[in-house]
Amino acid sequence: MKQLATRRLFLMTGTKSLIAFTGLLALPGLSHSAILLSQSPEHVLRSLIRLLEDLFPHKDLSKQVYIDAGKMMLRSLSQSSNDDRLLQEGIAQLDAMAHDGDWSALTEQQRLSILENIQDTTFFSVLRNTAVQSIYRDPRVWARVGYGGNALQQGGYLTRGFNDIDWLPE
Amino acid sequence: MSKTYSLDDNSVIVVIGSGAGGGTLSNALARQGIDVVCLEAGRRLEMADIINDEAEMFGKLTWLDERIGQGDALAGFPTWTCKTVGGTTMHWTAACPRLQAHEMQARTSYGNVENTSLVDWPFPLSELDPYYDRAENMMGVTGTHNIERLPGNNNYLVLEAGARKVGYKDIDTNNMAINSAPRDGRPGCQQLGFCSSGCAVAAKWSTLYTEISKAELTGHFELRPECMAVKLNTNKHGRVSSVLYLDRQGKLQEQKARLVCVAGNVVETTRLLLNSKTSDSPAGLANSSGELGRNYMRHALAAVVGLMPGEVHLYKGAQFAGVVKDETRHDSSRGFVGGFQITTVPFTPEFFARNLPMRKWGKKFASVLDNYRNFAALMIMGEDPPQADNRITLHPTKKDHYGLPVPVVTYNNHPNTIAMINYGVQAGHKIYAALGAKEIYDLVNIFPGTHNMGTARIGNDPKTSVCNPWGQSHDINNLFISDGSFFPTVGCENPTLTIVAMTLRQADYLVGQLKQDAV
Repeated sequence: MKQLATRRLFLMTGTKSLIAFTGLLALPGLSHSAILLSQSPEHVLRSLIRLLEDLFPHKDLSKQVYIDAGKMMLRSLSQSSNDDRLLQEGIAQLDAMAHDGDWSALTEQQRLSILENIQDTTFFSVLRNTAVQSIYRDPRVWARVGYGGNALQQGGYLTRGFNDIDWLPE
Repeated sequence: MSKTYSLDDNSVIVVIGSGAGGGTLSNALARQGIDVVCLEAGRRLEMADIINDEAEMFGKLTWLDERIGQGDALAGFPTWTCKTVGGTTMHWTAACPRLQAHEMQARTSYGNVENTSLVDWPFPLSELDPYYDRAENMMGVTGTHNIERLPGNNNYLVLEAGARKVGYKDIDTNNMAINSAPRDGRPGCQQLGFCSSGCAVAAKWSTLYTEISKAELTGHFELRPECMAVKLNTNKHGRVSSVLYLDRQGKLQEQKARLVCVAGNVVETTRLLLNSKTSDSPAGLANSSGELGRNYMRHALAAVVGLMPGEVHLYKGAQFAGVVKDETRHDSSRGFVGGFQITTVPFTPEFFARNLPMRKWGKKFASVLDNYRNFAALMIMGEDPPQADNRITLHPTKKDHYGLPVPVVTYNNHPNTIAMINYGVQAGHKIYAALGAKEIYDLVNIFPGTHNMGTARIGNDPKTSVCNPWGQSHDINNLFISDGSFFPTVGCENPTLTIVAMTLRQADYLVGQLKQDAV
């Protein structure tokens, strides 16, 4: 019930982490413009969807959920030039760590091992925080994990199992 | 019918805030024929605005103007309060336990606890009991006045079964200001489970559709929503003479007043008084003691989550209708003073995704969340001792969009609180382990202050307290504090019932004082 407070915290830390992330780009041999030039919108979206699948690999969840979440994130991040840049640079960072320059085309094992390496960066935590909202507010995910959501629309849980537990010891 | 009063009508009582304190006080006065103008910073919602969507309701209900947290307070969101007609009675979960006798004598019961400013309340529980009775009857609290308790939901049934296995005995579905059957023109609980997003069927008591609506029927009450009080003016006799506020167009208005009651929830109450300083009161109004803003208290809060062997669906049903009371006693052999409640609490998948203490991505993470239907959760909520340096202050330079200094909330856990939380979390583990939980997770240090108390404590001595035992300022006799700010200590009980009881008591006192022309 209190996750929203955390969302606000995230929004507030967002700006700070952007500054921290810019520092990350001061890597030898990686010029700023070179990174940005390599990003096509299709590539960013493909990488983002792959990222969501790797972060939240729920069993039996339709691929469409990740595609929709990726598109939604792309739309919302592109509304702020800071967030948009954060995303572009983050994916460029992933690609820079892949041998052939495309993280999303690597094997699962290779992708995960690169994610392990960047999981403490601010890019990763900002991206993950935004992704959590896209994935875990999706009713298809709710149905998969067993969360009922809007009870009013369905007539309340009074007649729909609020006290139907059957496995407790007598 | 709702009335309107002119700005220069200096016979009215101005109540600032429309929540548990302000809403209750407004109706208690208006129904006795006393003219009340209630200023509320937030918007007035219609019933159709209240829906089962946490994200949307968070935006509609929450006080989102900047507040800065320091120490153990969350930096960007130190307090979770409301900005809407009804105040935090929109967001509250409606648990209504009474304070216990020993808690109201905290200094005597607990002795000298280092680095606290523990005191006894200036009166015993027996003084408050008749008002608790009235409050419970007014709010329709289950388990009192022959009002049937709510049925327990699955999350409660798990808590109860586990608690009994480990030897706890004092367990029930709590005293709740949620109708178990239709009462007072409101329906019974439909077990929607979105209590803290506002009750969409009005089964939960909230001043929006109880005290405020009733006050409007008296013909002695005007509610002004979206009116933000910014300063109290005083006259040459040192009395409060008017309230400056920004109306919904952002225009500065001045409402004359015979008497002012401040019920803005502790952060805003403190800010208003500090911001109303004068050359005679350079430290803020009603602050000759220097105690205003100090002794800010929350409750010790932590949650324990159990991944149970069967399905629970913890989100279904009234959120806090379940409590274990065995640990609310004072027993210093546990390694701390005061006690704590163990209650039910629900969380959404998104909340778990953000807060479960584990690596928050990957296969293991997803497989844990895949078991969401099997989660049970409980909350530890304990007494927080007052400390002088836990306090609300004003930022020296930063201003918000009203042009008011941004409030700074400084809060640090007392070692007693840390010891209590550690003990409480272990107690929670035992409860779920007794039922064969596969995994147990602790959620600590992640909660903002939802119960905000202290900062204008009541007492007999004007040197060490801000208000007298009725919440009347020691310094200014036509200024009253009518919210949780007046708590000298907080016990381990949810504060709303006590705020309501205390404001009903204050209303009786006020009516008497007005009749005698003493204020």
